Amino acid sequence: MTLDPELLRILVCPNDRGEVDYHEAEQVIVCRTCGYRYPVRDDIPVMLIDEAEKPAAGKR
Amino acid sequence: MDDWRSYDDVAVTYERVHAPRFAEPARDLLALAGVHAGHRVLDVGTGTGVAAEVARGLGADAVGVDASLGMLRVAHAAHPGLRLAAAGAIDLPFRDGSFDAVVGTFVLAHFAKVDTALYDIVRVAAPGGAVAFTSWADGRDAFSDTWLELVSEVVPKELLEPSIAKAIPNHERFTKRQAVEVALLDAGLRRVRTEPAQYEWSYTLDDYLDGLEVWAVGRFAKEMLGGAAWAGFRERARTVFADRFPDPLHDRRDVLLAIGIKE
Repeated sequence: MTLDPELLRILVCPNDRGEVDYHEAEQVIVCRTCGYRYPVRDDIPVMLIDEAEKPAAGKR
Repeated sequence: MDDWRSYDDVAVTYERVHAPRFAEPARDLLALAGVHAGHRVLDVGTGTGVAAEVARGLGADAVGVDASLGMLRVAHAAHPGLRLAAAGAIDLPFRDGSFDAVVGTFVLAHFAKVDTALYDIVRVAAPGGAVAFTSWADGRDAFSDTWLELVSEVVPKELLEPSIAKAIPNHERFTKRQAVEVALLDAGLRRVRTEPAQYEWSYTLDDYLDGLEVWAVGRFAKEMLGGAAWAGFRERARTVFADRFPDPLHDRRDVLLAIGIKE
């Protein structure tokens, strides 16, 4: 399944409000600036900081 | 979140019992906020998508967010194509000024950090945009008194009360018109006003009792008692309700509709 483009257009990272990219194959939304990775579950972006996979320290 | 504070496990019941009834105050709130076709609308605490779906029906570009993925899964199934995201009211995943109206139905009292949540809600509203909420104006009636009386027979008050206060921190506070208006003014909104509204909903006794399992008191009691004891308790509650009230039940609820404008 793919995400609604209009929804993707208005989403930003809840952590730093950075621009995000949707990686459809991995079903994940990734912030360009902080690198937080937000899962997409059953077509629903989970834009919760607690649920995000964070990059290892020192890496972006 | 898979503890009793979460709405995940009660989403199906919420959609069946409450969503059809809550569409009515949602419609009134969206009218108060002046939502029309082409408006960008955010529904915070959308649950199973009630207000977002009403907004979409008005021709608005609606998005619903909720912290409960369980609720959103039901919203997605009930309203195909409705735009949804899991998000907290604090740290909303949207740019500043993204929406012509931000609404929330029966969600204000749930915010633990209400000032911070309102700050972020106002942030995503466009200048001149409306921020509007519904809030229960009273928590007491013969039905809920009976329910609390029954629950307090099986769950000690000293356990129940602090737990409920944690789940819905501002339940009492936002039953008051003035408190709602002050919160909106403190968030920087202007032309703040509230309108009282009254709704009368009819439930079969079984639907009404199912519906009670959705709210914090019911979720907590169910968790405390566990499977078999809960079933026994439900049976007793049904007997007491059937004894006191004619089936179907007519529940009359006072609601505040509050609005402010971002300048």
